[in-house]
Amino acid sequence: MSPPNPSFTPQIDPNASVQVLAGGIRITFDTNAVECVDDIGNPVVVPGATSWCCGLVRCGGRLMTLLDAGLLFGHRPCKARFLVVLKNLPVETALAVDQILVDGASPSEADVILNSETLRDHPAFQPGAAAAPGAVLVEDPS
Amino acid sequence: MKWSTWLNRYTSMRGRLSILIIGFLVTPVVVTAFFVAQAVGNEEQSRVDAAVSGLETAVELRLSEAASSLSQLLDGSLSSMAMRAARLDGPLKNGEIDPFEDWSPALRPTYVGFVSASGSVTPPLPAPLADRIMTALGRGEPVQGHEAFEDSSEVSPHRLAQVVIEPIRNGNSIVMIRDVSGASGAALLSSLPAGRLLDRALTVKGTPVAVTGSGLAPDRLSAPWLAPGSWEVAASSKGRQLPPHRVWEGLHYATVPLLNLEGAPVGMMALRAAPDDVLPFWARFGDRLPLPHLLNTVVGWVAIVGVLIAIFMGMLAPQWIWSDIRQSTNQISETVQRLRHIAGRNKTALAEQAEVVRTLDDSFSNLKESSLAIDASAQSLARNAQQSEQVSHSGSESVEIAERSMLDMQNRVSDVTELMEHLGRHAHEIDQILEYVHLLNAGTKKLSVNAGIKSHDQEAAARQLALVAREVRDLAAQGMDYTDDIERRVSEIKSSSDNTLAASREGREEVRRCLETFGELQVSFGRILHWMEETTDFVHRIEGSTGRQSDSLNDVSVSVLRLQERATESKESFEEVEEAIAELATLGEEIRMHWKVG
Repeated sequence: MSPPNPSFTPQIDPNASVQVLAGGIRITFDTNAVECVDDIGNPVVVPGATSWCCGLVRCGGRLMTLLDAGLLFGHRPCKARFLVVLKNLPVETALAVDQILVDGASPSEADVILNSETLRDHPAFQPGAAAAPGAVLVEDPS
Repeated sequence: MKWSTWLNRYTSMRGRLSILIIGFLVTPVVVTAFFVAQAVGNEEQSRVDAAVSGLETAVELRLSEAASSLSQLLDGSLSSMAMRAARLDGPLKNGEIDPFEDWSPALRPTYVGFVSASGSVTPPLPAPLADRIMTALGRGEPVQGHEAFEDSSEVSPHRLAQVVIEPIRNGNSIVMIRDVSGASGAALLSSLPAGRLLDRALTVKGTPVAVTGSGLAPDRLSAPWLAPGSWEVAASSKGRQLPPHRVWEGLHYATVPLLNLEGAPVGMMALRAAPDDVLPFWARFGDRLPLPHLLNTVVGWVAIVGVLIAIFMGMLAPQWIWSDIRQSTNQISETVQRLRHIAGRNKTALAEQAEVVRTLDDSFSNLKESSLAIDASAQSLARNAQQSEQVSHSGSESVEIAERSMLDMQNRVSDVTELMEHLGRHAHEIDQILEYVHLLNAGTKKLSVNAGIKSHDQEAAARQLALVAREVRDLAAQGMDYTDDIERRVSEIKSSSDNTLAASREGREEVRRCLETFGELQVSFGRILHWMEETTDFVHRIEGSTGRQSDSLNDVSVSVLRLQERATESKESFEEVEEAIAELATLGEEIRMHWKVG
């Protein structure tokens, strides 16, 4: 399943944005979609996951799914040096990025602009979207 | 001594050739010509005599000639007796050697008497002749003739004697008497050459004198064989050039009167012959002289055979007479060819010797040039060596200086290395610090971003802000520690850098000095290298000169060897020339002995 790319550009306040580089593109996140940024740490690879799913990672005491922002939105896999923890999503998800930018560039100059709405509607951030075809899903007992 | 050896020693080649030519070529021709001429002459004379005296046949002429010849021989016998009488000085003494022992018995006188000037005769004269002899003695002049006398004791009393009276010195005379009758007369007649077949007789007038023991047939002693009237014809023919001739009963008679001491005919000598007894074989054919018949005669055949033998000998002469000449000439030719070949070889050897000498001269010139070149190269080498030694000495000093400089620089480099290592440790520490700073920056960046994120989340602002402050305080403290550490490291680095800089300056100075020294060394070694190159060049030249010397010496050795060979060949050639000359000398001696001239 190929990662879907957003087809619209939301308006983001330049003072409320987080800009990163991933997979050769510049991505701007609205701060309402980002909980925090941190180092990548040591992600754990999950067998049976899709190619844009890097595995599981621990951040701030929480275990979350790590997805490759370069494969999802860019041209190539990223180097996964930093992660951007997303919020307001149905699944605890973080995006692996190459670099966090603090150069004060305009968010409109980014290649991809993401906010909570776009991320929520993105199929990659749906539950079970990271499972590869044919993988065995284990239901959440809760 | 064999006749051939005697002939070769005492006769010359041309003499022998002359003997051959005369013996086998000229003699037959001369004999033939003689007989032909005689025959022609006789024939001509016969014709002349016949025309002069009326004689008709050659037989008559030949018989008359024979009779005339006999008469002359009889007169000659008288003359010889007179000549011998003239040499006698006196009477023969008993016991003396017979002065007539050199005469044949037929010619010896039967009486020799000495007549003194007083008239005494010793020994006494024979009685039958005494009177006539004494009468002749009275004339006082030499007289000779035939005298007839009677001897009753002989079978034939009519006898004839030759008498010679020869006056000698002091008025003396010698009387010699030869009895020509009987056996002595026959011997005398037989000894006279008048043809064996001619019958001859001495007669007193018409009566033949006994000539027993002459070898004539007895029937010829009888009177009838004398033609009637012969005495008268003979007596009347006194003074004629040719004795008279008569033919009777097919036989021819010629008579010659015998004169006595007074010059009167007292007897005659008669000849009788048949025509075949007188004429030569070719005259028997009449008055013609047939040349074809000449070929059928013995003389002709002898002449022909002689000519053929002469021609044959002439063809064989080169094989016999000229054999020694040919052998000698062949030997001379061979010896000359050998000498010519030897001369050619000597000429070639001399030419090669001259070439070898010229080559030797060139080799010696090359040797001299090579030696001079080697000497010059050696001198240049010596100069280069001296200069190289000087430069090497100075270079050695420069090397020592450079070595000390290098050692100093090595020490400086060691110091710099230690300093650099120290700097390297500091740099590593600085890297760590930079890493810490980088972490600090990253943390600060994250904090700022998170702060910006949280600043928009008012519900958790206080909680998060305290967390952020705590993290910032921790970060600040950590940053201060890192900063102090960085300052300390930086000061240490600065100190090390200053030291390094000083060491580098000193090292740079040392390097400069080393560079200067190495520059000098480079120049020195450059000069040395140049001289070494020159030395190498000189060595190559010396090598080349030495090689040329060696080649020249090899050439000299080869030339000397060739000279030796040529000298040996020349010696052998001269020995051969000497042998050839000896052979020529021997040949010359043989030629002198064999090729006698004259």
